[in-house]
Amino acid sequence: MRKMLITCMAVAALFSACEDNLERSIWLSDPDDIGLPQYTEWGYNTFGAKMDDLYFVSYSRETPCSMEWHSIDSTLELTMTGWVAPQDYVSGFEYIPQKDYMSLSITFPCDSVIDSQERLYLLNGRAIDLTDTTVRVSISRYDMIMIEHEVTDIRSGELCFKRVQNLYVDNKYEEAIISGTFDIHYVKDGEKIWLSDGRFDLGITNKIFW
Amino acid sequence: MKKVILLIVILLSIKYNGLADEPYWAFNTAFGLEFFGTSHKDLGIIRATTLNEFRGKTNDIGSSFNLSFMPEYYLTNRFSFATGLRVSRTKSNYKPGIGKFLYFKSREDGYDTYYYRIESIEEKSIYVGIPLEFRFTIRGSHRPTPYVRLGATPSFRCTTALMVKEYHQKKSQSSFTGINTKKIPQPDNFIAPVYFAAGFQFGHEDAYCVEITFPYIVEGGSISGLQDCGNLGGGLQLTYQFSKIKQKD
Repeated sequence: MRKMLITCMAVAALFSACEDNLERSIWLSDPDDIGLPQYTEWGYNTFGAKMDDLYFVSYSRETPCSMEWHSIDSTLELTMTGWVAPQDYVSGFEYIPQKDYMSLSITFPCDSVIDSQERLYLLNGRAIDLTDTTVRVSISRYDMIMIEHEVTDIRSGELCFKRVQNLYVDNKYEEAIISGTFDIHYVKDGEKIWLSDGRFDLGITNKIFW
Repeated sequence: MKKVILLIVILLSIKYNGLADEPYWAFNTAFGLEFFGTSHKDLGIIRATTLNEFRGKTNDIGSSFNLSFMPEYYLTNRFSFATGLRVSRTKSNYKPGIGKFLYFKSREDGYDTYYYRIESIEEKSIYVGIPLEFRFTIRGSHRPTPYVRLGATPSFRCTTALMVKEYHQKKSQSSFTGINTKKIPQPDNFIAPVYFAAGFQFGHEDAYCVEITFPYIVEGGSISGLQDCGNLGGGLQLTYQFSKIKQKD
């Protein structure tokens, strides 16, 4: 009886997992570069950028981002968490060693208070120059544990919020969708690193907006 | 098109012996049903599903039911041509490939975007056409009588109806009034199906015909705004032929 109950629960969980929801990551490969996701504005929870010969991309089984409002200095922090993928990787079937984990955090000032995801629409159309002294960029890589390094020598870079939407499903507010592009050229330990052709399409719910 | 003309010329040049050659009219009422394969089309208003790259059910079957009234002119007992009027009703669906619903983007209003969860979109269209068909009876002295038919029906779209079925988790949930169907593309206004059929005729004075239509190729346009319709289809047609009138000299 107990085994039957557990089996039924497992089957129910499997079928419920099959039901689509907005938090899942949906990867549609860019036809021009299948290592990157297409630029979309549907809240598909993906991001990607070329990183020299590699890719910095979202990981399909993890929430790819978070946002945090710092009321002390009126700054907003966007963190994208993914991994550094080789050129021949296949999205959706990846096994990711811990050493390849990476996250990118960009903290920038805001003129208006953005203390909830409903107010993210104020970023619509905004482009942020990453070389600005008021902007802070940090990259975390795995070295036994995740270690964050602030990027101080940024030669060029931009984070652009091309479109920000408030999403309603069945007339009920659900999340904010932020979509845009990013690229960074920086120097670390004497080595030049390019994050280029970056794009993101992320759904921001109250679970990941701090 | 050249092959069709060539086939007609070949049929017209064949001589038949031992048959009544007096031309006559007959009148047909026909009911037909055709099926054709369809595949998803990116409508731009449906959010992709998780478990596959496509935004809806990858493959489906569309259908076309038609009703015809056609006078048929027999040049000989074996060769005839018919024209008349045909009304066709086409149907296609858009459903999730897996899972219970799709997210349908109904409208965008400034910074706000509205999705609705839907179970399906069903599209039905009415086309009116003028068929032009040629029939060749293979063996006139045998019952039932086998024949082949070649035809085309240029048709124009009269109307299209869309039904969007909303997804309700709870029975008490009322219907939404916000679904905007204006962005759903419409089928093409003009189509020209070309088809070949083979069948049997039962009877002579009042006859019944049963035939299989294959291939059924839709040229000139698409009969569905929801799906990409495969050109190739097939079906079945039943015809009742009556009122044979011999031409007076």
